[in-house]
Amino acid sequence: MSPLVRYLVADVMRGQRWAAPMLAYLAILLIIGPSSGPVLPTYAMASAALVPIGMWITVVVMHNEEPMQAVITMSINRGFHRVWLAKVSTALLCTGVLGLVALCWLTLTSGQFAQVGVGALDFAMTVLAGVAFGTVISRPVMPKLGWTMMLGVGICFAQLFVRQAPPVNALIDLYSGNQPGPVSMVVLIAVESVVLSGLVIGLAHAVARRRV
Amino acid sequence: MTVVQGVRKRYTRTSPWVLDGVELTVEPGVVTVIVAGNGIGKSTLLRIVAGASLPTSGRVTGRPGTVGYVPERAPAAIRMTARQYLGHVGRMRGMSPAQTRKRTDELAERLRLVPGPDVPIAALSKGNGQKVAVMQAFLRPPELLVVDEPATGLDAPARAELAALMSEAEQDGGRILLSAHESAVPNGRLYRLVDGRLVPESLRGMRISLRPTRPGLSASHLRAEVLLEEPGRVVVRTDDADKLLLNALSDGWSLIEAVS
Repeated sequence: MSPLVRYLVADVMRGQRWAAPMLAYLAILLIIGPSSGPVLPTYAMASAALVPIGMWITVVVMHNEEPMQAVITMSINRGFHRVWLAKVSTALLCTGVLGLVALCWLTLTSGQFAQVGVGALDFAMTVLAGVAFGTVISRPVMPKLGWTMMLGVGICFAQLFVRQAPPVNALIDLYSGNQPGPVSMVVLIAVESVVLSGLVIGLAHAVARRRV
Repeated sequence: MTVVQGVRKRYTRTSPWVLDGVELTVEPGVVTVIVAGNGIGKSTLLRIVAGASLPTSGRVTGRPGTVGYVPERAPAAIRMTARQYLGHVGRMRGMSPAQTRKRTDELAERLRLVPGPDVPIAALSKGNGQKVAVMQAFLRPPELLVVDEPATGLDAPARAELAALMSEAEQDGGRILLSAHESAVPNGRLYRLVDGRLVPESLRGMRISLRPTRPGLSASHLRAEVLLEEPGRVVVRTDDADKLLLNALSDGWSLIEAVS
């Protein structure tokens, strides 16, 4: 772990703001699992829930330093780009830990180890998408908390209800029928999610660099 | 040297330009001072030079690897102790834990950090919080030091120690850029920030700070260049200090200080 990411993680851990998204996700996990039937739909639901949680964690990470503290961090670390990317990495790390915990718990309790690779892909794409959406609703792109919440809720609804929107609606749709779709469809959704997340992170970076 | 080329900055598309074509060279061995009043944009310029903000257009070249930035107001809500925070700063600056510990103790002693570096920063007084902000900038000798209004928030011994640290950085070949309020201009190569641009400031004449002792006195009656006018204090510059002082004292002004 780079010294910068280590510092950001330590600073986040010393605050209490990470507790709310973590507890919310653990509560969601207890409602969704453990799986009594096929584990793939459970993976899909648990990973889909990680998108809003990832957005929340990203907001926590991006808002954790007070503005003057962030200015000092940027001066120490040669500018905005490195620090912003380190904050994105920190959010990915924190959300990824939750995804890993969920994957392990659901796999161990279901005893269905053959599908763990598909589950890992589900969680990887939703962790990335959650953090990507989080970057556009947090500082410095969205400095006002009211707009952060409004847009965050809007993105969650869009992910849930827009047909075939990767990754959430597409994943839920894949497992909603009696016969789940093929694994190749999961790979296709993952590719779409990575492309979408890349575009969203690129957009957030372009706006953020103008506002620091 | 660090060169600022044609830097312009505004925060939204519709807002006015805070900086509008700034050209500046910060050289080793010469302290560069930006003078301006409040809200003119000097902190924005200093952050851009330090790499903590990006210009809307233009660029900064020749920024070295170790940049020390001392903000005007120290962050007050850091949840770590000064030692823990500086430990992270040391790691980010590529220092070993032993080097960081030694330098932290040395700086805490020199700046008289009370009650010491093992107290949470959020629990420190404002002045001691500012000392931690100074310590992080000097943890590793800075190749480029950017200090936003060095006198702010520090007591007299800490201000003197900060001046000594800056002098050491200057002697080590560091480039130093300061901002200063009109009323507290240190020695160095002066520039005035006017309408988003830097204007070189000559060191002619004498800077005189005066306090009115009766109501109705106005700086405009002094017939000198007014650098600052605020309740209870004016700062003017004149080429003929004797004449100005003679007239001012007889009118009811009181002398605070005169600096050549």
